[in-house]
Amino acid sequence: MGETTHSLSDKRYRSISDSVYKIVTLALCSMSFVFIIILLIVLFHASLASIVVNGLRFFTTTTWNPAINSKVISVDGFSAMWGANYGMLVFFVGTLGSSILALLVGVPVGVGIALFISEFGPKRLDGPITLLLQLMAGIPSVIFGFWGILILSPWIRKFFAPALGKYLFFIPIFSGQVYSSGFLSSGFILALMIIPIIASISRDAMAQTPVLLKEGGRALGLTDWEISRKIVIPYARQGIIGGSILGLGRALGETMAVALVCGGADFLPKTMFYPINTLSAFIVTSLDSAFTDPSGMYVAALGELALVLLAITMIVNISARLLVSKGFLSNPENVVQV
Amino acid sequence: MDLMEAQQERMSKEKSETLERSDENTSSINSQMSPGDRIRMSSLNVYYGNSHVLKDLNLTIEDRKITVIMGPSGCGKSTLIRTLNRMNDTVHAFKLTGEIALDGINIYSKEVNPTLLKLRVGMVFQKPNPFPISIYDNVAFGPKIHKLSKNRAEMDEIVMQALKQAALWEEVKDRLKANALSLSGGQQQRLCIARALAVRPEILLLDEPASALDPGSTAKVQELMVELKKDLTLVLVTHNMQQAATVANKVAFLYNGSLVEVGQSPDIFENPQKKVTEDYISGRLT
Amino acid sequence: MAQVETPQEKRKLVEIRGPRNFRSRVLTDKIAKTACLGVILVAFYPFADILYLFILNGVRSISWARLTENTVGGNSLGGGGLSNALEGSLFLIGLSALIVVPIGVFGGVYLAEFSNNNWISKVSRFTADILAGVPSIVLGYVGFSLLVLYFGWGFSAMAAAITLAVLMFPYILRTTELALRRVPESIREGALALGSNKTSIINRLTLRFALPGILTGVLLAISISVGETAPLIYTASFSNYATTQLFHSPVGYLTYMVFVFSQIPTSEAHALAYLASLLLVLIVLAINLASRVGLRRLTKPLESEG
Repeated sequence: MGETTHSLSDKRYRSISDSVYKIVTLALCSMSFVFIIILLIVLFHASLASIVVNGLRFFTTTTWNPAINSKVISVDGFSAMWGANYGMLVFFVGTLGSSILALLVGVPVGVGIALFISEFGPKRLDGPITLLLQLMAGIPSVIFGFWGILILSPWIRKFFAPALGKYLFFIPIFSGQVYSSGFLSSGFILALMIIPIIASISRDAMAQTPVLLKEGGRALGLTDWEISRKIVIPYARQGIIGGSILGLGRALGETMAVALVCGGADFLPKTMFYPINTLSAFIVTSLDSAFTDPSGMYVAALGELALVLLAITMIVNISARLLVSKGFLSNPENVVQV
Repeated sequence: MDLMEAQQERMSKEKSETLERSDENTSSINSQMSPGDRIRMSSLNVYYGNSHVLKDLNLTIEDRKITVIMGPSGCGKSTLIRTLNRMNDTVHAFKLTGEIALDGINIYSKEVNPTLLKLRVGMVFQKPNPFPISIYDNVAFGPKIHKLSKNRAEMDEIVMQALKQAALWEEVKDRLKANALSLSGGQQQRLCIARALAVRPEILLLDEPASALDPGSTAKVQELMVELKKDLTLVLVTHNMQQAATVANKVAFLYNGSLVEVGQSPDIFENPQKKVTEDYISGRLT
Repeated sequence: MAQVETPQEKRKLVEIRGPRNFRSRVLTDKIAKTACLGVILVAFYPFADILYLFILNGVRSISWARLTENTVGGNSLGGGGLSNALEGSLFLIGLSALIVVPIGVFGGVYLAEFSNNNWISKVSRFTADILAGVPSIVLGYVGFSLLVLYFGWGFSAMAAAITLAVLMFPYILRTTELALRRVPESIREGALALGSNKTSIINRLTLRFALPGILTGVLLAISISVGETAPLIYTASFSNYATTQLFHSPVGYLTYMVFVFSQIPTSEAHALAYLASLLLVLIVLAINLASRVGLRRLTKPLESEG
């Protein structure tokens, strides 16, 4: 086989092996596309029964009642339980609410850390702080949740929530009964989990600020904070927003930590002290009960929840990606604020 | 000119609140100051880590004169001019010994706030660095931060005055809202000069301000400098011999971090005392 | 603006001129800097507390029995040990890495060596980023629906490993591309000049040069999947017994121990949850430290040789 190593035919053999190699790697590389397609098809197929049977009620009602003890009936060709109602509003509100709270806490903290790394802090701390952020991002979600049960939730119940209630009682969302797990603990734990993302992407964007602009500001007699606020932050604005949206995407889909500290509510929260439930936390904790539904509708409804969650996170992540990589810093207009 | 003086006066009244610490500072007043000197450097040494960038410099900058610092690239001229308003403070491993006295105060002493120092000693950089906002906002940037105007009309006046001083007013008066990046390189540099002038510095440092400009713009910036020295003290770093000869009152020749020769303008070019200076002036050294 | 001569005038200039708002600006500057330092402490305190809490309590919970015995009970009781979960975790990670590493690495080869930045590579990168952002619980549901139910594999190591593989894929794909792109062009050209074809250049040279970077990506992906819980609940379920079967046999894993036993308020259950947490934290921190150091080397500009 290797006799005529220097013949023409060997060259042909070589180019064939190259094209085979190319095609095989191409196939493997397009798996990311294939996976997404499979994901969408399977999710859609699995939740079809719920989409058809539950219709708009799925998005507009707050009751999640599988009615597993009633009788199986047939609706539009799918089997369902008589008297069941699947409404995702409680979980949807919980997901959005806790993620927004996480952003409210996480963005200022993340940007503050980024400012400290890139502007204020001593250079020799940059590496260690960045490494700490990365290690923090690596801590498993379920461990954050365990810490939440042990430390954060009790702290909120005993100290933080009563303090809020004492000083902000005139605002309705800060009054009334305090539950140990819920809105506040979910939002805070999510904030902790997205701070590393926001901080590191903001830091990268801030590092792009031209030294010349910063020096121009310094030569005009701006303090360090004024340079940061008037020159660095406006310049890095797109990166900061992109990082925050990426953090939002993570918070929306975050499952285990929230499942442990959300309180597992099946009603809408009235105050910040209420227990909540989120799409992801509800899905992960409901598999056992879903199996008890003889019509299979419960499993399909969980699929529709997953589909909704996927849709939200996809929209969020795509917009973050467009902001962070494309057109990022390409537009100097409106970059510096006065 | 009247406006400037009025401004100056108003500000000296305002400042009284701020730093009446002259008594603490008298210790560092250099008794050898001659009346016309604004800045005096004595035994100035600068290091970046282990490299010794400026070696035992003694130099004075005179009031309302143009002092030109020249020398081959890498001789430390940029470092020197940046130490005059403490732009190097944040540079890693920067170390300075000796003294730089501004009107008798050591600007590196604890009492002096580096931010306030920059209000008195402005700076224009090698490359034009306008902020990517409107022309007007660029000039108004400093005055706004420092709250130098009480109302819009005053701010308009400051902006106009600064642009006139920078000989840019006629060219931009109809498009003050346009983005500064839409200006030509030469205009951008004059805008940066106007931006620096708008906070009313007494001393203006120019770090090779024309090195990135075409000959026409360079000539304009040169004319501007001569005009500006009526009101301000200028320090110019350049490696352009002709520019130095055109604008300088006093020339300091820096070589390898040491001050080789200092002289009044025409003399040093016509009759250099040192061999290195002569080599540099005649173009044998770059 | 006369020449400075009289002592009074000299004094005037001695004062460093300051606008009226200066003090408040300096104060604002100080407050802002302090606040930035403050938020760092606020953010890192929980992290430090997590390490302290789980290392301390985890070490206290170490016992021979807990490390070597199987879990007893499940959702309600909680006792015994976690050897089944530890073994299961390692089994799942090993299996999923076995599946995903070839796919991810050779997919990355296409992106770096063949694609010339064509539309296929752009779509692939874009969808990889999207995939990395898909909540893991959604992947879990899909794995459950397709592999566990539709393919009829039941809760099984294979279903879980494939789900984890999909989760790890984008990270390995992108870091492999990054690592390959950093191999100097001169190496490829030198081999090309010797008459090698592209296949052998990539397999014998480029991949070898990029190996540290690729390993970094693989480690990072592994550390992410070690900490995963949600997709495994839907694909592996849980088992009190170690298994090596690929199909029709649920598998235990450490994160499940934390999730379930942290909610059972008995000291024995909590001890197991602490011990599982300790193991997880140690594994994840070790892998992360190793891979981050590698990644830093990877993103640092290449030093010119010689």
